[in-house]
Amino acid sequence: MNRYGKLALIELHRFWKVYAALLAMTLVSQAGGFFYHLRTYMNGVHRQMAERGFRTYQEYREVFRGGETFHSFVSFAEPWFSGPVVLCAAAMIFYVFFIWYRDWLGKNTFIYRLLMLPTERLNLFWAKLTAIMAFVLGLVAFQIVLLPVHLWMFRQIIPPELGISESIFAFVRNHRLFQILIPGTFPGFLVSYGTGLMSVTVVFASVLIERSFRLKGLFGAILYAAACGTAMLAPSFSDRLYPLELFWLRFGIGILLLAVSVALSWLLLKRKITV
Amino acid sequence: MIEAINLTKKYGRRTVLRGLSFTAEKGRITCLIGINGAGKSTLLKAIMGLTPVSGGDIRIDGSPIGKGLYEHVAFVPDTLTLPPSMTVAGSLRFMGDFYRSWNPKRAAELLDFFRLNPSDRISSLSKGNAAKLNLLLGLSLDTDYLLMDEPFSGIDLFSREQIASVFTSDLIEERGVLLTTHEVGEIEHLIDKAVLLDRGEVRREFWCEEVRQNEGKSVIDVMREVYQS
Repeated sequence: MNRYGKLALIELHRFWKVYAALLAMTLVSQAGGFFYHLRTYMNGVHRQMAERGFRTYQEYREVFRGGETFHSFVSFAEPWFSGPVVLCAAAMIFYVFFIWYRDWLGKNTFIYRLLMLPTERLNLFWAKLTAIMAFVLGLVAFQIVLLPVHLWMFRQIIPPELGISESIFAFVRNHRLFQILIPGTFPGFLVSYGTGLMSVTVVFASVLIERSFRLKGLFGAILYAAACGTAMLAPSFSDRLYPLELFWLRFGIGILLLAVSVALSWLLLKRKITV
Repeated sequence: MIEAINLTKKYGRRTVLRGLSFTAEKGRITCLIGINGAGKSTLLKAIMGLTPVSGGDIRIDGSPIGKGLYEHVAFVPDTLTLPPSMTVAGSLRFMGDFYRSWNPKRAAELLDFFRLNPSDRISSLSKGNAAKLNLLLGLSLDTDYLLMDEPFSGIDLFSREQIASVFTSDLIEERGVLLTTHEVGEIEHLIDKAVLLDRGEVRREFWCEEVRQNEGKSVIDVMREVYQS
């Protein structure tokens, strides 16, 4: 395996315990929370049926409201669903910074060894970027795997008279958080995660500016990140552009910022970085 | 030969290296001596490309520092620079994975010599054992030069003796060694050349044996002359 691949594996390995904990938390919160909510609902249904002497769910449905969709049931258990997703996103945003800073922290400053590896220093950048993207896509993939499990659980616990099953696709399209997380089209996926990739490279370049020039660099890093953010948002303020023109303009600016951030990081790692 | 030519380094307004020049020859042990803050560690980091210099030039065997530096020059910093969760065996694997100059046979011999336990985690190593592993990682690279930052600092007597014995062994022969210390006393007999630093400048550079024979002075005598004058 080449040195970039080995570095990427090291980066993946260094975060796997926290990452496994995030996956486990998502599974337990969503599956556990949803199961608890569904069981509580069914217990309520059975209690009402016993009190009123209903024999079928159809009778219950005629008196009480019923026939809610999978999406509605998820909405009732929303904190159990969205909570871990928001927490995972926050953890990943934090780790975009910490993946660099951890190498400078503590008694055993690993950055000495990393910078002295006989390979292009930009490979450190690629390895960390690969790890972040792999973690993010892994979390999304895990969520995509979990949704059919939740739907299966819904079908097992809620009788067809009381709950309307729907496709995962329809559910994702209607859920305000999951429709951002899992874009419906491939171009949509490329735009969302391409913007994410570009943002990570901007943050990486900002961290390297700070690590190279310390206090002065902190101001430089903030300025650089702010300038990139402004450049990305600027086209939105124009009312003279058609949506397609706006899209291509943003796409071009995104590619440019990505290229500038990579080139700047390469230069800093090669000439300015300090341990 | 490692050459530092007119090196300048500034941290903000503070000048750490002031037009500093010296050489460290292959096959010789050169010692950078100076009190804390003299610029010793900064100088080693600059040679290894771990901090940029503000001016001057560094040459290794006549060439500027470049891509092949780390297969050619090994650096043993003053602390072990590997993740605390890594094991001793893991650190050896890590080095073998990345360095073509890694010598696994020598690493195994040194592991035995220093009596290090391969399954120990780096976080659990005593200061002495961490220093030994640090030295092992540097010595097991087949490089022409070895740079060491305070290899004897803060470790117990027996560990110091064990590390000092490495300097008289064939592990060092043929290589150029450049080490820093602020306590020269116990390694005086090991070094060939001394470079006395003070506030980022070279106050004196001399061959120890020459000074002993011609002037009848030890390194410490010369230090007294230089630093207390």
